[in-house]
Amino acid sequence: MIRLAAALWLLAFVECAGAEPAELRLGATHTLEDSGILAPLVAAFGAARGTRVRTLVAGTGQVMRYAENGDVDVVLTHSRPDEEDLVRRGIGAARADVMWNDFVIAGPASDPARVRGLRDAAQALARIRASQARFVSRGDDSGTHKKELQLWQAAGGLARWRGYLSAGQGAGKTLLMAGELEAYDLVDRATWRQVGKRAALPILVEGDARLVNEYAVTTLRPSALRPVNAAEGEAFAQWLLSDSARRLIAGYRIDGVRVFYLPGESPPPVR
Amino acid sequence: MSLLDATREAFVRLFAGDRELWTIVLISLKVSLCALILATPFAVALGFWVASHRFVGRRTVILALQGLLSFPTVVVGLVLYLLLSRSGPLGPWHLLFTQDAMIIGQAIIAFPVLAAFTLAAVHGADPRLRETAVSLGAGPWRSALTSLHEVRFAVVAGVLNGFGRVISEVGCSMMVGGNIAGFTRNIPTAIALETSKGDFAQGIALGAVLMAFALGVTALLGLVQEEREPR
Repeated sequence: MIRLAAALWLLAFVECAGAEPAELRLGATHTLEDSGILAPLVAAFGAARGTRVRTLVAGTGQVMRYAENGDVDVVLTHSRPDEEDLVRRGIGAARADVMWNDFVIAGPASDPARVRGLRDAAQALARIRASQARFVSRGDDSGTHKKELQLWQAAGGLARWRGYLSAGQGAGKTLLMAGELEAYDLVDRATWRQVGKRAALPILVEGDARLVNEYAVTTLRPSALRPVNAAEGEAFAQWLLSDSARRLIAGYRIDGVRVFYLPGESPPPVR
Repeated sequence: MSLLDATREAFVRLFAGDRELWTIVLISLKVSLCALILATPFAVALGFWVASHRFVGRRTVILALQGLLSFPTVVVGLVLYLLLSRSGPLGPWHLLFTQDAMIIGQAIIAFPVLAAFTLAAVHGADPRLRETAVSLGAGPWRSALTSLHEVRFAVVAGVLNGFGRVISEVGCSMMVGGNIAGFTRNIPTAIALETSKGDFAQGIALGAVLMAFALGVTALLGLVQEEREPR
């Protein structure tokens, strides 16, 4: 009896401990996950190369820290200064543009801060603050959060007010939260398309050149401290620039609308 | 940052009175204490009533209470979210992502703990006590109070246990509170966020506070129990 139990336990233990190692650990951002493009990209790469991919989703700031700690083999993020910094510090090997779209400011249809139709995103933020309306910030050191802080810089600095809520959550969750609270939110267009249906917040501000949102893949340099799988990371980066990946990106639609564009591609027609 | 550096930084923040950190601690305490204040009278009343009355379905109620002890807090969060959401039946109250929503959630989570403790204690109390009280001319309220007085330590133990459960609860608070900085960000949700942001120092500091609470509650429980023993 005891022997049987011991054998069963051993079997279970081996089963639990013998989880298959991931062959490629990808660090990707919330916006990629929430917009829905991450899953088909990863699946297509996995099918093309026969590699098992384990994706870690976090804000860009945190993905960068994953890279520093050697917790991922390659990163797909949207904050150019951080990506270039990673390469400069020798942690990253090379950075390449993959695709882009833009950020928008969504908000309640009643638009208490009267920002609808503004082109200048910084001016829009300043108006939201002046009206003391609610604004939900990602507050998680993500690419979107970094963009927001840049815009605040342009708007004369971020002076927090009562309605400025720092959520510390992903793009989709933050947008849903803004919907519940009837608040403004800076969000990438793809996540807005994907999640916006449930948040009921129309786009109020768009078209500012500063609102561009570029995604890049950065491969990582292996070292004794960070034994990353550089070969698979490089293969993923190469594949993202291949024709089949470009077709997938260009063909990705949310409710029939295209939301990602290829580097160098002309901006989408005026909406 | 190495673990050692992060830990050192954590204690610096703790003792330097880092404002953000202590705001989170205060929010945690406020929400959990309010939740207990809200839940205790009802839970104790229910526990007492079930223990001291015979009625149809009593066994079911007792089973349900005991089952609720291990009720997943994320499910409480889910149901509460659906109720409080703008499109939900209680949407017009505008409670989602507020401290009130967190308090309601934690009160629901603490309720079965409090009720089950009271129930068990009243069950275990000497029935002659109440009979004596009644025979000495005590009315129903008076005799109930006498019984409750008799089991007061068990009720306090229940409250402390409930506190331990809600102060460290993360699922429900995250879902209905939304982890808004300075407003609905409590210790557990902050630790979850800081870890995912890679700010381990803040996480460790908050973890230390949380463990201090847990140890404090355990010490108090010990005291309560000792108090009861020599009788």
